Amino acid sequence: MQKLLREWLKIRNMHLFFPYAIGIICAILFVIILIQRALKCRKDGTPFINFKDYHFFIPGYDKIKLWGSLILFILYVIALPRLHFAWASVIFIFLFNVLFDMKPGKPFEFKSVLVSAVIALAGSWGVWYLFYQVFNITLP
Amino acid sequence: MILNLGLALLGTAIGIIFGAIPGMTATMAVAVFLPMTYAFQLVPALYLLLGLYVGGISGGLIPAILINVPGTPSSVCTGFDGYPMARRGESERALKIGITASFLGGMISLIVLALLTPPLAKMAIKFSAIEKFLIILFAMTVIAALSKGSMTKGVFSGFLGVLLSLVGELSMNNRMRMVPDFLKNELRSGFQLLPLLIGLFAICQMFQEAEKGMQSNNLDEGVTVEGAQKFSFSDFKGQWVNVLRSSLFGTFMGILPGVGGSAASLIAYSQAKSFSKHPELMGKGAPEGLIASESSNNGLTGGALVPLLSLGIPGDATTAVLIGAFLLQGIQVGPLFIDQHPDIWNQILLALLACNVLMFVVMFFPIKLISQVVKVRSARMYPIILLMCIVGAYATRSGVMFDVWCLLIFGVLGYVMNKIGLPVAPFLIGFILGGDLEKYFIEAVKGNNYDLAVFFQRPIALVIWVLIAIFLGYSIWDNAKGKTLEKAGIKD
Repeated sequence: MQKLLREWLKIRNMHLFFPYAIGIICAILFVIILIQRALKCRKDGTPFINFKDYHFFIPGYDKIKLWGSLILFILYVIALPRLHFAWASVIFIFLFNVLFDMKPGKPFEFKSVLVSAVIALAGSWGVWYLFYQVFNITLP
Repeated sequence: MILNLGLALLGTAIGIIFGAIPGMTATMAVAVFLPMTYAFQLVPALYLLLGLYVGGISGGLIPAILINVPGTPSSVCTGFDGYPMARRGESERALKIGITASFLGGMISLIVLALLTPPLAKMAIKFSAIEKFLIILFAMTVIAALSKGSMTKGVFSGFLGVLLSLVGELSMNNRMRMVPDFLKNELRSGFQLLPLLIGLFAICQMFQEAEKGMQSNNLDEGVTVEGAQKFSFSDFKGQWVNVLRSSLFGTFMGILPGVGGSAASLIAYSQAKSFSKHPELMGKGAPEGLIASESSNNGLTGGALVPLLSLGIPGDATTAVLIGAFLLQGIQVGPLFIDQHPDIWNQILLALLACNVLMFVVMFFPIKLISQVVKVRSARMYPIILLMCIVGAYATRSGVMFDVWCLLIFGVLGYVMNKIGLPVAPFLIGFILGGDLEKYFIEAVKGNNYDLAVFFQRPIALVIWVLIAIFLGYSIWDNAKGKTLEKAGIKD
């Protein structure tokens, strides 16, 4: 063991020792989790893999809000370096507000859209002013 | 000092809002506002963050009492008696009892923090790399305790966190590992803590709420904050033992890293029931249940800071985030912290005192106004929180867009981990401790002729091994108990 450690912890190898060791521990733990699941399934008489009854999302989840928020987030990050931080934020915070406040059957209520616009304008420019002007923090 | 108090007031008020909106937690509040501390020195930053912590924990009692939905996991027992009180027209009384109990719990935990941390740190100063490695290993066993009912998954998640922390360059030989060629520049210093924790705790939560449709919480028609029966300090007559016992339970649960606020609240509540002269009234609107729950969860705040400030080990998810504030300022928390920075240590005690007093003042007097917070719709809050998260991630390294992408990646990762039942808090603690675990292991082994027996030779090391064994035993017992409760359909 001492010899092995001496070899592994030589300057040129040192950076690889821990990733391998932790990787092996993770692999062992993963196998233990699988075995525990197999034993539990055998005890309960349920199949090990059951795609039929498996639901990743909660039943009746809000598809528009979940996928919409993910897509808007990606577009927002893409837009940030291309537009000014505050302008990109005004656009996307407005869209996030509209998306999150959408009600089934009545997606675009005038009052809701108006409130979204006010929050987007005030929030984005407010955050820009606070962080960039007052705190001197670098923004995209 | 006025600036510090102003920041504490701001932090406490915002923390109360976060705590009072179900789905938002104290951890999330601290994570979102951490980037703002770039502009401050450490002391004002701590006033702000501790305010968020205390406010976030305390704010959870408002929805627990008014709509029977705990604002934070640590308020889980508050609604047991608080909500029945509100239903019979005693909302204001219940809220004020809860606020006073929270204040008392916070103050008792502050005393324990002040008395216990310095001797613990003094003892830890004698630690060599061997003991430091073992202490981190001890903290890793804590990870097991964090994962009630799914210990193996918790440990797995913790080690995944350690693995992720190893990405990048090892400073001892300046060699890179686990980094693809096209990300060599971005990942030279590995994944950054701030985007990781904001992603795991704020962005992930946003996706979870979006999945549920961003539903708003409405006040039950039978509940109003106005009430016929007013609060009086005589409500605490005969409850002082309950306050002291529950606060100390909360504090010591906080010291045991990873046990968490909901467990502290549940244990204090069950103890209050055992010692009660009228246990049959508990759960039907008895003030003593409310007092037990609230004094224990605020007792947790000071307790969780004990292992952080004496050993450098975060006591819970929020203090794991708080460690980020120290790292941002280049200050290492651990055994030497109090000796090297006595002024900061004193300021932490002062800040915690100020935040508890401010929490009491801000919540107690304008309670009718503060209670309106439960009507704030998360649909309107999350876009602004997202904005703050983007600013925080981008500012981590003064303008690296990759860190903003990391925010999204870890947000999605946290969401997926929750879905497949892998706990997120152990992952974060593993990530924070991973670098030190590697460093101290290499130092200890190289300094002792590559002999692993060195970890079993020194007396302090043996004591730590005994502690590890005790804690592992407790974790296994607790895990088995969690599974039994799960089978019986009772969730922690």
